[in-house]
Amino acid sequence: MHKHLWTWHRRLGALIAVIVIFLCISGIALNHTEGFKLDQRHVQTGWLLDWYGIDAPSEAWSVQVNGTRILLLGDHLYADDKLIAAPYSALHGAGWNGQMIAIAAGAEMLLLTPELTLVERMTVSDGLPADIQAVGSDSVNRIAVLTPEGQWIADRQLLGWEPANESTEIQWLPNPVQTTEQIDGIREHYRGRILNWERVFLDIHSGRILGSAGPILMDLVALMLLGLAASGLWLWSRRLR
Amino acid sequence: MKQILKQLVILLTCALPMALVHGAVYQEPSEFVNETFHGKPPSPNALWLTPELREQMEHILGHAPSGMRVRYWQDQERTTWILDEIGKELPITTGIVIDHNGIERVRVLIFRESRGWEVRHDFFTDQFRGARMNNKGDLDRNIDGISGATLSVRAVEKLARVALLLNSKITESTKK
Repeated sequence: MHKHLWTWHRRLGALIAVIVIFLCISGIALNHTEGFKLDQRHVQTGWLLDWYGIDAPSEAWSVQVNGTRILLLGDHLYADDKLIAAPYSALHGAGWNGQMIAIAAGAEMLLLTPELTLVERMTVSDGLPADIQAVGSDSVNRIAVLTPEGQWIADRQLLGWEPANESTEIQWLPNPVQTTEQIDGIREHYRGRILNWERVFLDIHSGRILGSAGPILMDLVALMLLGLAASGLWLWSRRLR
Repeated sequence: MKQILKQLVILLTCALPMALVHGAVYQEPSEFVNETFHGKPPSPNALWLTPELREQMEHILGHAPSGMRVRYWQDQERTTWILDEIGKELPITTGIVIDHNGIERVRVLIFRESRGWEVRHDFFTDQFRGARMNNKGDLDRNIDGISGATLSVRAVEKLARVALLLNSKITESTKK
């Protein structure tokens, strides 16, 4: 009986050793989530993202302005390949006033330098007209927007808005269209911003990374560990005698 | 049944204020500006952030400012700033009025976090009244914290320092 139990004790120990190593590493990592900034670091590894079934949205909307492609993928807004900000529900249009690119997205207007550096995010609180439907410009290159309440013109610095005069000729710029371009790099970037390492370590620790069977497996491992502790104590007590 | 109903009423009574607190708009920023200038707000101006100023702001905030310019409203020696800073996860929008280089008024306008909303109360924001920036770029006085709202307190304090810093740049350029 003693020899038989000793054999099983060793086998059980070897069987769960690998899982215990994973549990220890993930446990230590989770204990120091803030220190390691696990909640801010995102998984970029392709196979792990595939494992979680994370994919970029199939549809993307884009518009060209001043030689720059403004693109909305999911709720992420990109200028060329650079992420500008998120989240945005829709891309309404974009314009160029000779100094800055003005992008109407969601309930905001984002201003960018020609080098695509963010200048300001304007909201209704800053005097931006609500419910922008289209972006355009007048004959002197001032940015104009179309809303259900009418047409509005911004000053040269894009600090204030006023209703456009009836005589003002506004050229409305093309509305965003569904893009057919290859944007694999942007899609990969989008995927790499969804899953953080805290989630992965939590799932490893609980076993959920293996799907619905994972927690049951971890329950079994816990029972095995209990068995290991009990058999170890029993063997140790026998040895003392 | 009566007992269940009673518990449900208690639960709703407790939960409702919390629901209202989360994502609360206490005052629209445009209303705050209007009120500050007695219904006749001046046109907004923009302060462009030089690399040196960005560095000073980064030192206060602990991160780089998100844009390249900050909007403000000015009437002689009085400036008003609407600034955002994240408490724990979401930005707290705060209105700050500065008069002759001292804080006249601080008001939390939009609070989006689920905790720390106590910073909106006057007993906290009144502490900033008259505060100025010392040589080290800190406030010239100690601001008492609120237990359970440490991150929000810290965020509002940072914004007050940033507003004083930005105002000092406006004052400098006006003197020149």
